[in-house]
Amino acid sequence: MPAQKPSVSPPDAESFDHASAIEACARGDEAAFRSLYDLESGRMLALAMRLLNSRDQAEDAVHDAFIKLWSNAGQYRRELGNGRAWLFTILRYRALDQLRAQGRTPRGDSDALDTLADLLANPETAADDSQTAHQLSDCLGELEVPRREPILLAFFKGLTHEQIAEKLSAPLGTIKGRIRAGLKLLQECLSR
Amino acid sequence: MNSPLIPESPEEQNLLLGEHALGLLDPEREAEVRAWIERDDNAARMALRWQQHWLSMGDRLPPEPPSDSLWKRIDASLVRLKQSSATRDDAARHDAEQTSTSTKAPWLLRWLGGGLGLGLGAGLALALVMQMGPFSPSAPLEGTSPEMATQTPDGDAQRMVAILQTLEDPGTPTWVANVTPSGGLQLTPKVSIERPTDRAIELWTLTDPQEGPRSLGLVDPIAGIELSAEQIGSMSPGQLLEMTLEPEGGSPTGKPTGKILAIGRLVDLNQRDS
Repeated sequence: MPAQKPSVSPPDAESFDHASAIEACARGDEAAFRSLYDLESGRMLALAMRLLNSRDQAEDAVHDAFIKLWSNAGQYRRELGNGRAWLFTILRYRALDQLRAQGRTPRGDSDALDTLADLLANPETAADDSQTAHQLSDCLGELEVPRREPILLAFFKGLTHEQIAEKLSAPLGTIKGRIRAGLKLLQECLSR
Repeated sequence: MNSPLIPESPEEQNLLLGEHALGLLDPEREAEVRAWIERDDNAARMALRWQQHWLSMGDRLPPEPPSDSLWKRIDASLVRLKQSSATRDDAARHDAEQTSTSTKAPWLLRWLGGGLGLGLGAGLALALVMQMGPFSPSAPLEGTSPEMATQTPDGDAQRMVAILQTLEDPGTPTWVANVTPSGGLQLTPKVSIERPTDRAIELWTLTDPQEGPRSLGLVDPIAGIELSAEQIGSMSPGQLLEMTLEPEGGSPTGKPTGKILAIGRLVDLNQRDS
């Protein structure tokens, strides 16, 4: 495939039909593949950098995710769920596997809680203004801080139960219980 | 039937998938859950729903513009992937056909590298190798017996060596690869190669165009690498060697994905400057 310059103004994630683009990739459509890259690489990189604390490693994860997307596009079935979620699942698998391979040692995350709290408190920074976004944000907001914090640390920093317990200076069993209870409340809230 | 690690209750299943989405499961359970998602549509649906919820939070992070090189890497990997796939298909259809140079894979064209100065003459190769140590093209290595040397069909011992160069500066040799008398390969750095601490250097060779580049393992940038004859397989003049920068643990695809750090071709020192 010849090198192409990134699109000047890629479509926004809301209006883009990810499922159709992934299906087009399965048919070998390189333009669809490039569209997905133009649209999502920045957000995928942001999430991977948050998890891996390294631009190089995050770019490796995004690289691997896109190659996996191309290889596995034929396995995607739109009836099972959102194409964008499928793409980010690939990224997350890869990033978490990288973290595990490193022993999942968190680095440089001393301000993680403040930043995550800011993210939750400033919905105007959200790119996705869908009902889903509001629902999850609202539901997280309903959680008490001791239940919300460990969940956010797990999602954004990829921390294990043990690392969260250490970071929050709480017993491991307590952290496991809080996360489980928090997820249960989220589950109930999201299904309302 | 689900494994004992997968709960029966739909609510518990959904909670388990919530923990999976957060990356909180231990490796054994994580593997079980991924396999469950693969085989169970309902599990896949629940997992994607969690992911979609969390995606909306991930979108609150300001996008990070990728480096200019990221798309180039992806594009290069994609080309290799497609060619590898096409080659497999082609091999299945035309099992007996020999691969022609006109259908060489892009990675192969890259390796053949017209204009990249990969064809260092055997004379220069010899000079460089002699700088490195007690290697005489007309005598076996110290401590080895002449009969161990790689034999050509006409009975003459082959002295093969590859000088690996960077693409940016093809005139500067970076690594030297010696085929040892026992048929192994010894790769020694001439200059230090800079690499991020979280990256690996992987060595590749090409023996079968249909198979594509074959990994010979990760290379220590200081100590180099020594491979036995069994590890590297048969070697012949013209055979290509390449080192690439890969993620920790090596290429995730089984083919080169990262920047080429050095590349070179084996030459037979008995045919100097031929």
